[in-house]
Order: sequence, then structure tokens, then C-alpha cells
Amino acid sequence: MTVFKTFLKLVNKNKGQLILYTVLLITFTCITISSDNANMNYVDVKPDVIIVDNDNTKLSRHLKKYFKDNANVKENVDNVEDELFYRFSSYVIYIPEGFEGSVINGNMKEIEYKSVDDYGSSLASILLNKYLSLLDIYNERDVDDLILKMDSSLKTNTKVEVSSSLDTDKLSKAEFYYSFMNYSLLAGCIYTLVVILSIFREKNILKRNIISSMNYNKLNKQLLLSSLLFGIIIWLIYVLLSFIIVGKVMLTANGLCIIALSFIFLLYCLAIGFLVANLISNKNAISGIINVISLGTSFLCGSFVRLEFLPANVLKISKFIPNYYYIDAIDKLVGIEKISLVTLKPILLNVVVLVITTIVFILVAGIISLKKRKIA
Amino acid sequence: MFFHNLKYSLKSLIKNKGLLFWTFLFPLLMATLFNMAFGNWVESEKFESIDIAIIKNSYYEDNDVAKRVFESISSGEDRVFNITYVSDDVALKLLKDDKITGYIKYYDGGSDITVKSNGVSATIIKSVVDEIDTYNVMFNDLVEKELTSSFDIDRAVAEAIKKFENIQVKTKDVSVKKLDIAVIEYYSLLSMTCLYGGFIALTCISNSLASISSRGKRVEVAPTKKSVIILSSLLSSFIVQMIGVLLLLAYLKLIGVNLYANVLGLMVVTVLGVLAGIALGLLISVVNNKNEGVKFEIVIAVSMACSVLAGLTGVSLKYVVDSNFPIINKINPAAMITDGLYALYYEDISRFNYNMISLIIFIVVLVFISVVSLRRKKYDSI
Repeated sequence: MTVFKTFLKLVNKNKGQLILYTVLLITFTCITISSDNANMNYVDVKPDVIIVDNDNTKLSRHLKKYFKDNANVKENVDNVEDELFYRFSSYVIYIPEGFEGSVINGNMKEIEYKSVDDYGSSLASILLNKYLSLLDIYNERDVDDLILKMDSSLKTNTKVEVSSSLDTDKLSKAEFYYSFMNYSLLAGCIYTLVVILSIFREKNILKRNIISSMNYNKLNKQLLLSSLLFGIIIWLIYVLLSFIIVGKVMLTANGLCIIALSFIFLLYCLAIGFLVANLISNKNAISGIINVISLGTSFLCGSFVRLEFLPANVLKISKFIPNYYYIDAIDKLVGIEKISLVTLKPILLNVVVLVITTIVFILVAGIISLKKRKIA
Repeated sequence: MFFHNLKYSLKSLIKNKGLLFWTFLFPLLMATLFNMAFGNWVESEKFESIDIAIIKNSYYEDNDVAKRVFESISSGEDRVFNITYVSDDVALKLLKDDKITGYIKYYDGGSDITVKSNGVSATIIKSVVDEIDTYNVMFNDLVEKELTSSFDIDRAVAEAIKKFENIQVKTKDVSVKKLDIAVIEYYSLLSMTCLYGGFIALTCISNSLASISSRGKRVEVAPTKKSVIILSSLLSSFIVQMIGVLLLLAYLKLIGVNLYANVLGLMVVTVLGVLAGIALGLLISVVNNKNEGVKFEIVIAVSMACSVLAGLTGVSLKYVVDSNFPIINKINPAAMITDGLYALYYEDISRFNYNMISLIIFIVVLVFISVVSLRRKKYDSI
């Protein structure tokens, strides 16, 4: 109990970093996953479009209305280039002065646009081309008649059926949250264990512990159990936060599997923390090593940038890092239509890799700890 | 004496392994990770043709407009779709196996789309099918219109087809240049590295002030003017930090990162950025009486907060801050550096000048406060 109490006191003393990692997890999840649609049925995705109307006529206003129905339209934007660069908009349409007149005269003026070449801008481009094609085909001389005809033509609405019964939007939120948790949990576990265990391994304290009546193995076991309890508390807090941020989808079979997987990952994080704590003897190197391990593995294994967006050569390296198997498993779990033993089979390998690595790390840490026990 | 102190100040900095890690190695490590993770970023967000299937049946075969439109948008380099023509069962299997985004089925009087999940690709498929339906209605209208004047069905259809084939959409792409969003991450990294000059300045000043360290007591007891010691210490900090920044720039060049900035502009930004970092470290080290460890944590917290607000952990945050709380990034040195580099990217000289003048004001204000705090601090004989 003495060991456990000391452990908790030290956690409390060093809670600043842990709070920082948790704040990062919450902030980035909330910034990145802002939409709140329950998308079991088909919902149109609306591209972000800026319209600069230099004509301000019935027809230009009609074009804007058409875009407002099909896109998120912004007007009077001060810095268009910044909007595009930061991807807050993907398409800019400049309606030229005299546009309506040119359409009525049968010689439509050229419409200039700016695009970021992504999916949103492709969709906006399709919408614009459709509108302009209709204007050209109708070739009307009266603007009111033209608008009337355009309105009746633009009414078509094809039925779309979504075959998946999964709430993909919410599950992708869960995927982002639990992938980012790779960083927060890993950094938090390594930091806490390294800082606390390094205090227990300070020469004077170590000498006191060795000569105390408590068996050294018992002390080590208590340290291990304290670490496990600490890890479980942090993990429970993170899981609770995921229910608040992501929502009820965490209670579905897919969500529960992700939570179970994150528990296995917690054990891996504790094992790596235990190993690093046994390897490091220089206190000044702690923060450097923590950053190298946590940031390095998070960048390379898809915690910050999704696995599908990582270059192929980086993915080859990632496969040598166990964290990859955690994030890859989440990626697979999100796509499983119906959870069963058969559908979970592809994830089994990922779990095996994580479990084996955890066992190996604990064994190696134990051996190093035994060797370090000898004081000359 | 100035050069004597400069020499030893440099020596002590170069022998500080922890400091060297954060100044030299950590930025290189981050640059490597950024390069590995964001190497595919621009490519990954680019539009790629969407894989779809069309159910091959008599309704589709009879729909001339649909066939023509799908043919035209599934050919060439800029094609929207890669189309497979299959039966119902095969389409369903392809969808289940994630081989296609969705499939389209034509029937008597309309069409249906089936997609696996929502998304931009699904909306693009729907938009195109909607467009075809609109064209179908218009085509029939045109044929009817032609029939009222000629009563010749073949001629009416031919006229309608001609009209469709001659659709002229006049649009022009006036996008400024390639919008490499990943570059802002490197700008933030550069600004963070510049601000890390604060660590070095803090270490140097700690070694020079009697109120902070034992080494400082030894230095201050020597018959040397305080200004000489402080200035030589700050110059050594500047030299070491500039080496760190230049090393980072050289490394970025080596791994093929294009910063889209001219050399002169880049040098101006980095020199002022490093000076801002040193001014920050100087201020933190002289205005409070906490121990060196606490001061280090303050420098870490301030420089990280500034870098995060300037976009280190994601460009969105910088834009959100710029748009909603502009005052924050107007006094944030990391944002001034990042925005200065961004101005170089867009060759916006007035924006660049604005940021550089802001940096100079920031440095002057911080140094002024520090000098006021340092003046007249003398120790009585006890």
C-alpha cells in the first residue's frame, strides 16, 4: 500500500503533462469532427463555394440561389486566397459584369473560377457546368422566361439508397478519436511511468528499498500493479470522454470492439512505458525520448494523418511499429457491417501483434530491472 | 572581454547536450516526420476518378442522353468516372467489396443510385445522374419544339442532338498557383525553431546573472561590465540558434521540401524570428525570480502555445484564430513568422513588410522591458 500511495502522490505531482495530452485529444477531436449528421439515409454533401457577383442582376442572383440550394455559399469574403489555402472554401466563382446581358444576347460571357482541385471543387465545377449548359441550351431572350425554365429543369432529384446500415459519420468520428488516442495514451503512459519509476530508481531511494523488509520482487509487482491501475483510470477517463464527444455509436458492436481494442493498446502503452523507464537512466533525456517515441510513432502510424493518406514507402516502415496494428484494426473495425467471429478474423492478427509485443516488452523490462538492481 | 565571454558562452552552449537536442535535433526530427506524413497530402486531397458501375439493361441502352454523357465523362485524363457495365448481382458484390463507390440502375421512367455510404463521391454521382435526367427532359422538350415546326421526327431528333453537341460552357481557371497546404506546417516548424532561441537565451542569461545561478555569481563578481556580458551572451545565443535554423533549412532543402520563398526574404524572416525568440527568452529570464527550471517551463509553454496558434498542429487553428480573434496572432511572434513566410509564398510584399515590422516592434518592446528590469541591479556587501 505504501508503494501504491507513493505512486499516486507522484502521479498527482506530475499531472500537468497528462492534462495537456488530454486537452490535445479533446481539442483536436472537436475541431476536426464538427459535423453532426446521423447519416443512415442519403444526405447531399455541400461544397464550400465563394461567389463574387460583379453583375448583381436577376440572373446572377438566380445563379447564387441555385448554388445556395446545393452548396455552402459565402459572399463578401475579404481574402479569397486565404480561404482557398486553408481549405475553408474549395471553389470561387466570379460572375462578370454584364453576365445577364451577354446570356440574353446569345453570347455568354466567360465565367472565371478558382479551385483547389479537391472533391468539393469537382462537385462545385459539375454544378456550375450544369447551370451554364442549361443556360446555353435554352438560349432565351427573356430573362424571366429563362429563370422559369431553369427552375423547372433544375428540379430533378434522383433517389439514392445507402446500402450500409452503419452510421459511418459517427463511426468515423470514433475512428479519429481513438486513432488520436494513440498519441495521448502513449505519451501519457510513457511520461508518467518514466518520471515516477525514475524517482523509484534514484540511487538513494533504490538503496532504501533494497534494504527494506519488503521483498524486491513484491515491490516491483506493486509498481506494476500501480501502473496498471493508473493506466486503467486514464483509459476509463478517455473512454468516458469518447462517449461525450462521439456519442451513442460507442455502444454499438463496432464501438464496443474499438473500446476493447483500445484496452489492449493501453496494455501495450504501459509495457512500452515500463521498458523505457527501465532503459533511461538520464533524467534530462526523458522529455526528448518521450517526444521521439510518441510523436514518431503517431506520425508514422496514422494517428495524425489517416493511414490511407500516408505514402506507400512510409506504410512499409509503419508495419514494423506495433502502433500501426492498433490504428489499422480501428480502420478495419469501422468498416465491418456486421460484427461476428468471422468478420473479426482480419483483426485477429493485429491483436496478436499487440499482445505479443506487450509480453516481450514486459519481459525485457523485467530482465533490465533485475540487472539494474545490482549496485556496486 | 566581449570576445572572451562570447567564446566561453559559445563553448558552454555547444556542450549542453539537452539544449542541442531541442535546438538542432528536435526540429530535424519533426521535419522528417512532417515529410513522411504529409508527403502525400496534396496528392491525397486531389480529385480522382470515381469507380462506379452501371447496370446494363434495355432501359440504359435506350437512353441515348445517358449513354452519351457517361461516355464523355468517363474518357480522357480528366474523367469523372471509371465505369464498369455489369448485372445487378455483380454490382452489389462490387459495392460490398468496396470496388466501386456506387451503382446506377435505369428503369422505365427514371433511375436509382445505390451507394455504400454518404460522401462527396456519392453526391457527385447523384449530381451527374440529376444532370442527365434534366437533359433527358430538355431533349424531349426540344424534340417536341422542333416537331411543331417541321413534323419530321428524324429531323427534330437530329436538331436536338446538334444543340446538345454544341453546348458551349465558357469557364476559365484563374487559380493563382498550386495550393500546397503542407507548406504551412513547415512554416510553423520554422517559427517554432526560431522561438526555441528562447531556451538558449535563457541558458545564457542564467549563466550570467548572480540571482539565478552559481556560475552567474562567478561571472558577476568579475570586473566586467554587465552590458558586455549580457550582449556577448545574447550574441552567442543568436549564433547557435541561427546555426540550428540554417541546419533545418538545409535539411528541408535536402529532403526536397519547397518553401516557395526567396532566399533574401527567408533570411530576413529567420534572423528576425531568432531575435524574437531570444528576446522572449531574455524577458522571461529577467522579469521573474523563479528558478531556472520554472523559467524553462514558461519558455516551453509560451513558445508551444504561440506555435500551436500559428498552425503547428493544424492549419485550421491559425485561420480560426486569424478570423475570430485577430488580436491574438497580431501579437504572436510565431504567427508573424508563419504569416511572413506565407506572404513570401504569395509574393505579397505589403503583408510581408507588415509582419516584419510587427516582429521588430515585438523585439524592441521585449528588449526594452528586459533592459529596464536589468538596470541598476547591484549586490550590496554583506
